[in-house]
Amino acid sequence: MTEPFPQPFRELLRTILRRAPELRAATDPGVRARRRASSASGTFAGHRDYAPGDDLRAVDWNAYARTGELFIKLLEEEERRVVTILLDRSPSMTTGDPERLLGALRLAAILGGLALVRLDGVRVIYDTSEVTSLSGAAALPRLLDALGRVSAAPQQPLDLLRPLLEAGWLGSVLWISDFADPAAAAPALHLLRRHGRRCSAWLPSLAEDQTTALRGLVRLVDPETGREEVFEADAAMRAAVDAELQRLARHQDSVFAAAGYPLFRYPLPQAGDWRLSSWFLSSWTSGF
Amino acid sequence: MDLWFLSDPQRLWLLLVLPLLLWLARPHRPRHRVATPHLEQWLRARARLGRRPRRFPWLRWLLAAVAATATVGAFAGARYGGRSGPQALAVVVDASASMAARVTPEGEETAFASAVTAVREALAALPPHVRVRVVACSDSVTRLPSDAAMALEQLAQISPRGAGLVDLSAVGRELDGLAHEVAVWTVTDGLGPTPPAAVGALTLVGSTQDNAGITAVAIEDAWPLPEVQASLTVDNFSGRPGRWMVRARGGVEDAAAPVELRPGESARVGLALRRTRGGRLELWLDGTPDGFAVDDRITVQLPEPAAPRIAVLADDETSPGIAAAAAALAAETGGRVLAAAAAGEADYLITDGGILPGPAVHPRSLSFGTRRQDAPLSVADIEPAPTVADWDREDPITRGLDLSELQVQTCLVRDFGGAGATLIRAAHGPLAVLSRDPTSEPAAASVHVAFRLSDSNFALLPAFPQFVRRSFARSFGAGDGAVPGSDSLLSAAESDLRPPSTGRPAERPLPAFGAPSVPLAPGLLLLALAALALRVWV
Repeated sequence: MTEPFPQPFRELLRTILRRAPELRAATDPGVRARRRASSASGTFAGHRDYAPGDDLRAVDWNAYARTGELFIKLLEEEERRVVTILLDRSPSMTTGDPERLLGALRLAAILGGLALVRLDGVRVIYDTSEVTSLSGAAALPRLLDALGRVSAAPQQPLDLLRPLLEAGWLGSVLWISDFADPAAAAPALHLLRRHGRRCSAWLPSLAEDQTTALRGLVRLVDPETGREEVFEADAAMRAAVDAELQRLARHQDSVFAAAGYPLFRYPLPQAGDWRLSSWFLSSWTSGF
Repeated sequence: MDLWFLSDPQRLWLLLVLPLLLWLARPHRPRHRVATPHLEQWLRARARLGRRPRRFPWLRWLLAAVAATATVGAFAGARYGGRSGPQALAVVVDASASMAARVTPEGEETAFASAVTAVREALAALPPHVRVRVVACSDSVTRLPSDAAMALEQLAQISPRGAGLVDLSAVGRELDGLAHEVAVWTVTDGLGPTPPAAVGALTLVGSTQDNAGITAVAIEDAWPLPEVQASLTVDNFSGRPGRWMVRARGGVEDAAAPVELRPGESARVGLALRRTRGGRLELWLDGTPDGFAVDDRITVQLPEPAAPRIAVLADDETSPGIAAAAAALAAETGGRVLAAAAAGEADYLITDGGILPGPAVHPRSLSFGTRRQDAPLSVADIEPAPTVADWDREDPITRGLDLSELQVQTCLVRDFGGAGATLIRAAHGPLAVLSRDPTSEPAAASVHVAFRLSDSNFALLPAFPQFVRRSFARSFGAGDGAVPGSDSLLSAAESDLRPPSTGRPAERPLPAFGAPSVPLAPGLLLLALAALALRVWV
């Protein structure tokens, strides 16, 4: 695999991290307050109405006994603010040009770097037995080393969640994946929801996720299953495939919307494109 | 019954075209693979367009394979049904003389007639597609027409004869080796010098019997003299002794001689015959046991008597013996003595003394002291009191004669008959010569003696009549001689109707003949065309 973090990227990463204070969330008191209020442990901060899928352990049963209605206890966060990055390294991530996994690693480096700079720490989980916990801006090289060791391997979303849930780690979850099968991600999102985790999904998107550029007789292979098929990629076929890709995108959006988590599509720049505008999205300054 | 078979199975190598068709029929598959997480979307898009996956066109390939296989099958000579086995029958019928033996001593049917009946019945029962060829074997192989009806007709007209020199076993092997679809069937009595074929079917006709027959004959004809000496060899081919009579009649005075033979014995029987009129002489064996009539009777064609016209030119008073000898010859040979005046018409001329000019010399003559030139004799022309020195002991004229008592008072030294082989020699030269006339046809010869009978005691010697008879016979040559008839002798092996020492071979039935099969090539080609047409439509 290509060197995931060449020198131009490292320089680009340092530039991004220098601009971290510009991020909108860094100074938004409302966001910080919501995070505090949705923590799983800490000092009682208030109630909110119960919604289907909420963790039953957070239900205030005393309030239910008094009022006959279900309320969720809101606790102020006491634990250090640590971001957990779930990195999907399944074979489907190895497709695309540039390779989607390569972009995912660089995205993880950017997000992890931001967490090290702006928050208390970051955990990177890409395997059930591989958890890297880092804190402080000085840990950035170790973060890059840990990400540099990631290689593609089959895995299931629920397996990726197991270390996080078993350890009871709190904090935001950044899930980086292609979400090629949105239905497979739905149970994991539901589980996160039940455990009261905050989560945002990042999809390193390629141009082929929106429209196909293949022409003529093509032989496609699914890296997950190894299944091969030959297609005649004529105009009608390409149009039908594009429609299906749009349908997939809508499906992905609907799955995450149903779970109440945002899904960000991160367009991967072309190979050799180290411009800041290509990697540092302008929307981050208002939506991160 | 074979359901189907291939007449040229080696051509099935053309089925190697099937893997080629398989390779050609497979859909094109891009060599480069593109990995994508959106294969499911491609599949749904294809389903939405109503397109089918690009799969191997099994049906089209199957139709092409059917067309190719059917074509190769037609090319390999696929045929349906039928039965493996011979498609032709070669019938070898023994036509040797032993086949003329009666099946039973009392009956009239011969073994050959039984063979013809067996062949007729077998051919009538043959499947119509079986080709038939009939050969009759005796001293040679007679090929009968390929048409079965004509062959049977000609077979029935064949008379068994000959010594069975054709080796039936060799003929059977040769026919059997012609082709694997030819069945050989030998019909024989199992007797004779050669065993029947060891291959193919075998049917034995006739039966073993006791028999006696004439197995050899020798005829010594003294023509133009009447003596005929017949010597016959009679064999007893039976297990019991017997007594037979050997008889002769026709052209000769009837004669008979008995012969008694022990089992398996052979004997020679001589018959001294005397020609009366010549013609067909019949010699036959009369008696029992005898199961075979053909070998009991032989015929010999004897030449008719010479019946010469004999003329004598001699003085009756001085040569009385000459006239008597001429009369005796005429009586013995059926001829007559002409008057001296008609000597020019004579077939045989006898002279004693006198002068007979050279051109007047008869090509067949016997002369005693007859000069050829009318010239005065000198002393040198006459030899007084010659002494007989010797005579030719080998020549048929003088062989066995005793001429030691021959006394000659005087003889001619030369000019008594010309050059020739010396028969009697004196100290001064020849006393008798044999002169041959190479120009005459048939061959003629004359005997010339150098002295007159009146000048010797030759006419008084016992050898004189034999000398005259032999000279007469020598003058006419051997003639046509005795000619054996067409129903001449059989070989002893053909007359021996006893079972062979190895026993008669066991009969072998005709094989099951093959049935013709139906060619499948037209149907297979139609199937190929239909498959190709259907392939266009699919």
